[in-house]
Amino acid sequence: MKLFTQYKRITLWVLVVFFLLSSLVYYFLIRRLLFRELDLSMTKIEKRIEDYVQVHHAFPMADSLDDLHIVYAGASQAGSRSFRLISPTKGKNTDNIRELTFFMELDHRWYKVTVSRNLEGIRSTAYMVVVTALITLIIVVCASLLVNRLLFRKLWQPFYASIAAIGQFQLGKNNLPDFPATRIEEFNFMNDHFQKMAANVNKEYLILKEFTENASHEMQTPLAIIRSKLDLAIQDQNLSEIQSTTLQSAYASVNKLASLNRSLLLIARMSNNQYSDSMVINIKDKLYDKIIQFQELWKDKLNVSYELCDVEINANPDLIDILLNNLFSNASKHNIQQGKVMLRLTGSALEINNTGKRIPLDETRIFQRFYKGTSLQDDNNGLGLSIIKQICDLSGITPSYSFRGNIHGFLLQWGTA
Amino acid sequence: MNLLIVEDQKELSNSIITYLSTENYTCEPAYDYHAALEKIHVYDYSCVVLDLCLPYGNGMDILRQLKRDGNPTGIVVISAKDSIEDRVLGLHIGADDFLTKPFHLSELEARIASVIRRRTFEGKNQVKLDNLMLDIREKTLNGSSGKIELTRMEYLLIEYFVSNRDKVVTKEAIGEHLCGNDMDMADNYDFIYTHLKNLRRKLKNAGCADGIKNVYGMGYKFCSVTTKERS
Repeated sequence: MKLFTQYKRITLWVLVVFFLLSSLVYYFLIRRLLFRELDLSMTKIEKRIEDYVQVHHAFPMADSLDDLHIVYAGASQAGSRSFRLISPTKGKNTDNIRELTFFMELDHRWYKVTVSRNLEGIRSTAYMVVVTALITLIIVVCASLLVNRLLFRKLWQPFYASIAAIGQFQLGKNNLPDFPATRIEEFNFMNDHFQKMAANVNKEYLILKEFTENASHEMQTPLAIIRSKLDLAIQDQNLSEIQSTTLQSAYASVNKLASLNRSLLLIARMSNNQYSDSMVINIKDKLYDKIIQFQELWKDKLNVSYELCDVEINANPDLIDILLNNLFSNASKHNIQQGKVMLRLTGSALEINNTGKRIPLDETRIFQRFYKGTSLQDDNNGLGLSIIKQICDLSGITPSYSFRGNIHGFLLQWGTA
Repeated sequence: MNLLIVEDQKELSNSIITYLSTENYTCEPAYDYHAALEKIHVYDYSCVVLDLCLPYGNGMDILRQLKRDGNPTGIVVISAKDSIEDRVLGLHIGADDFLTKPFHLSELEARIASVIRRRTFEGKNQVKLDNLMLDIREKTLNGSSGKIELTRMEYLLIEYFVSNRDKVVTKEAIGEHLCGNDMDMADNYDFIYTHLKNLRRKLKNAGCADGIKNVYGMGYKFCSVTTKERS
């Protein structure tokens, strides 16, 4: 839920309750006021009747005009003067009536005088009050919604700008997010912290990256020494079978370590933007060269078929070379005996399909580092595909994986924007 | 032939010297920048193996110095720093080859052999072994009964074997030599076997002794009775 929606919801209810309550209070206040006016006017009529009786010694004619009724009735004794409200009896379509009863003495006889008045006016007045309140309520709610919406958009503008700036922020690119200055203290506070966090994260990242690169570099020399010693050791003609097997597995592990190290260095270098130069590359020519090289190597083992069209893309030539190498090695490494590799190059995509194990790879994790898929063989350092992904990211290519009918396929698309 | 091994890691330097010295090379070590410069000034070397990170100085400066002096020696740079910039700069200044650590000693020897051959232009384009003759410039192999047709891979193989005669070369080293560092073959070196089989068959058909021996589990060894490099 958006903050504004939440805010709207709360203010809306508060407004409604407030207006309902206030119109109720209004209603009763106005009713009381009107009753008082009415009672006052009826008291005036009482006074006039008294004056009339004093002068004429007779009751004035009961005037039935308007909604005023005066009734005289004989009474045995004097009662108390009282106002009362008569509600209409059920079934009769009459209005509420306000009634004043008082007693007068005329010619030594008591009379009960009843002055009553229709409450039609009061009722419509009360209605008016309620209707006015409701209309006001609706107008106020609409107006506040509109104003709030406009205001919110304007007030939260710096917030969205900051969020956008953070969204643009990429680790290790050395472009710290630029937060727009604002007059709002809270946003400045937030931006300040964002800025510090981004700087910190970036610093830590650079340190980590540098560490990876340095560690890989530092490992090169000991690796070189181990490898050279092994190279020397195997020259011995009098090695026993056990010694030779031991040396052989040590040798193989050193090779794995060397290749892992090379991959880590490559990744570190890529994130260091050391491959930022790009040029126009004819993918068809590159692929063709690779196919020839590849066929030379794999001769009778694999069957390669291809369909290429002339395409040029703008990228770093070294990276594209590594990319194709990795794709080709994957297609051959994870293939089956007498398997197939099928290549298709169209204007905006390169498709590499190969036969292989009948188990699909996990599409969501396939490009992660050290993902080794279903292969139990540990001769795979698990970095090949993540290197492919990183090269693609740097070159504006979108890689995807598919598994259809025992064919593993990699699709690289570019220029989709 | 004299080689200078400029490498500050004594262990690595010793390995290189031990490996290369069994051939017709005489190797001398230099463990730091000044020692290297001094030796270069005093002696003539057919090839200098040069590490870039040295105590008291940078290998690049030694390289520059050699080029400034017009020294005709071949230079193979070995570096732990495999950055493109270093490689480009090294080759631009005038290094003949660039090898990234960790390398196979057999690869180093092949590179050195190739550099020396390239450097001494007028001679030693042909290597004669028993009744085989390898023409480096033409990239061909001749048997006693004429030219033996080889594929590019087969030629690379025999050339590599010839550079590393009488040494055990591992299939990993051969694999890397044939398809480069970047091709991640994941220990699947079956393809070498195919090419090797074809090469052996061709040698046999040409009536040549098959000097390629299988060293159990490790790799191969190319033995020849007599070897002569001639102009």
